[in-house]
Amino acid sequence: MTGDLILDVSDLKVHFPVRMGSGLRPNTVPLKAVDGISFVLHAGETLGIVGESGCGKSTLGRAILSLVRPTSGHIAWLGEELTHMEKRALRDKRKDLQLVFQDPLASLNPRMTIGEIIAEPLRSFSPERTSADRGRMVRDMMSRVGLSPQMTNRYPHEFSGGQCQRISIARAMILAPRLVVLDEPVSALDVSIQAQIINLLKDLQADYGLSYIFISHDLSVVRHMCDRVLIMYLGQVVEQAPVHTLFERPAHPYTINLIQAVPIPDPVKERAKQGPVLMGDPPSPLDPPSGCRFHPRCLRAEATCKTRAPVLETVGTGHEAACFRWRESL
Amino acid sequence: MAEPILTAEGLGVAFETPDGTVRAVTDLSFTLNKGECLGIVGESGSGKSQTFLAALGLLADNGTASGTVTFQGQNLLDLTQQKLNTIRGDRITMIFQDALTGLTPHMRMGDQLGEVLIAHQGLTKTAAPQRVLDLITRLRIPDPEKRLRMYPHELSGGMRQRMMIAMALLCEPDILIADEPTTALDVTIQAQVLHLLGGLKKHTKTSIILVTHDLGVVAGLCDRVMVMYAGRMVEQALVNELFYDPKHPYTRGLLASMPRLTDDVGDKTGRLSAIPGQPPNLQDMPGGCAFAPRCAAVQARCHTERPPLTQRDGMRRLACHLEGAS
Repeated sequence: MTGDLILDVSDLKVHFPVRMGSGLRPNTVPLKAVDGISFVLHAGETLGIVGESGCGKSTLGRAILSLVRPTSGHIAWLGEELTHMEKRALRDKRKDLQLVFQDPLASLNPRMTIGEIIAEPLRSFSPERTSADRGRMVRDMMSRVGLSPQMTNRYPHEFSGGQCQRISIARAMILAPRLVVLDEPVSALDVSIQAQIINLLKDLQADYGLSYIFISHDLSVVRHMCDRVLIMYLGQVVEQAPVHTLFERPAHPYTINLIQAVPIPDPVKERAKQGPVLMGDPPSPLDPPSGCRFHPRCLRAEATCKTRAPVLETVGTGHEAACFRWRESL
Repeated sequence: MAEPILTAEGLGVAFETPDGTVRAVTDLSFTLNKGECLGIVGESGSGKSQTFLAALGLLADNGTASGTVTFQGQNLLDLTQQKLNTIRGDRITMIFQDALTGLTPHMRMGDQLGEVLIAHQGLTKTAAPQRVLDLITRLRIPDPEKRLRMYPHELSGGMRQRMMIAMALLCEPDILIADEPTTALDVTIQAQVLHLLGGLKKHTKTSIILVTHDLGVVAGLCDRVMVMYAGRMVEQALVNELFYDPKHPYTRGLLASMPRLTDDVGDKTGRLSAIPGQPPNLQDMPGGCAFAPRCAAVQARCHTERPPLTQRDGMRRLACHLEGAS
């Protein structure tokens, strides 16, 4: 069902220096946004990256596209290492790697017409094309994403949120990329529009054989979109599994709590929900807890969890979890 | 047994803009009963927030409200700002999606919560802090003393929202209006805040109006639900009737378009049944039913004749030409 290995990320770390304290010698503390993440992605696959605000999921997405420089680790794209690649060589790879942001209007230049916006990647990457050729490609792409090609001369503010997201998608797709990182692409949209965009993304994937990295905090959308899911907590992966396994047999207590917390649009089921609500807020990534980073909020935490950090271990087919007590979940 | 506490009749909200008049809410009538949790569902621009901003005299300067909103025998829309100030924050309170803008940045949490009691209940500066601490403790906010010494920016998003709820509950209001209270929060924090609101519903007599676009949140908390589209109510029913037997094609479309964690609706290979098109521009409303251009069950007359909102079986009210709309 999925094809060749296209992306292989291993032990990726992205640390940002943050100045703490004041005076003449403020000390610098590393904010470990991404702290040792490994995963692979196959052609045609959709990998979901899920976690709460501040868990590092967007930084991970940007690091994969080489938009932030990783502190250490490796990113192999089609067998080529991206982390040490020269700028010019990297630019060449960018054609294949595209990004769609959450806020559709903010990611479009208000002073460009949507025709210009969608054509811009073509101008950058295939300057040899004639403008007539570009115009034709833009119009084809517009109708492909559900925008009327007559609207090329309009400006972003004339469009609704859902249409702006279609424009962003058209811009990302025009170079026929192989991987698109979708960073919360439907979170800002109304429910009825959200469904349209999800369907569009799936159709494009089927047509072009694209791979997606789908960053989201919405588990219902992830379940619908993704083949495989990584659950992140404070810069680390706590669980990774094929989508059905993750929702049917979650192993990590954090995953279990996340799934439990999603409100179900069904009054009887929602009110019959049992089990404790996950208490507390995620701790600051500047000062992550010792041992297992989830232990202060975990109902299963025991003495070991405070001192030793669990590593990802195989708990089933294609299913890994970083928890000492995962056996109690399955 | 159902005793109305807030009644809106023929409520309209209009904004004067350089491009003409925009009617955000049109001819809206509804009642809120004592102790009830009423859900208001709709998409951006459906008028769900403006309805309650109008009721509390909080519309933007270019907005005007018409009709009546009756609370304790008086029409809120006729009251002076001074009179409204004795009701707002005391008998009727409101919490917003963005808790940070609702809090004063340069006051410690304890002081700004205490101020509510001093202003509305005439408590002294020495008596207020204890009452605040009591409530915060009762709401099971961890480390209450420490939190009350903090400034809003020092609190996490979920904690701020809980502080907003605490502030709204200090005077034991008759009505709490919660406008997208959990939309900006992470799912685990949302669950905590919903748990808090659920406890409030169980243990106090406060009526709650929950404005949201999230049908999951409605399913857990509300007794009755009102669905709005393009400034009008299109359907209203008890929560179970609405979820298990939706009649209006828009309500059905909304329920069907949600990806779900449970059941097989959200199959990875399957498509979601999206509602085609987009909500109408309020400045350029279609004649007839506002939903007609997107409706799966549209008939010829839907484009010319606006369906009136009529009482159906039980508690249901429906604005659709399809009889029973099935």
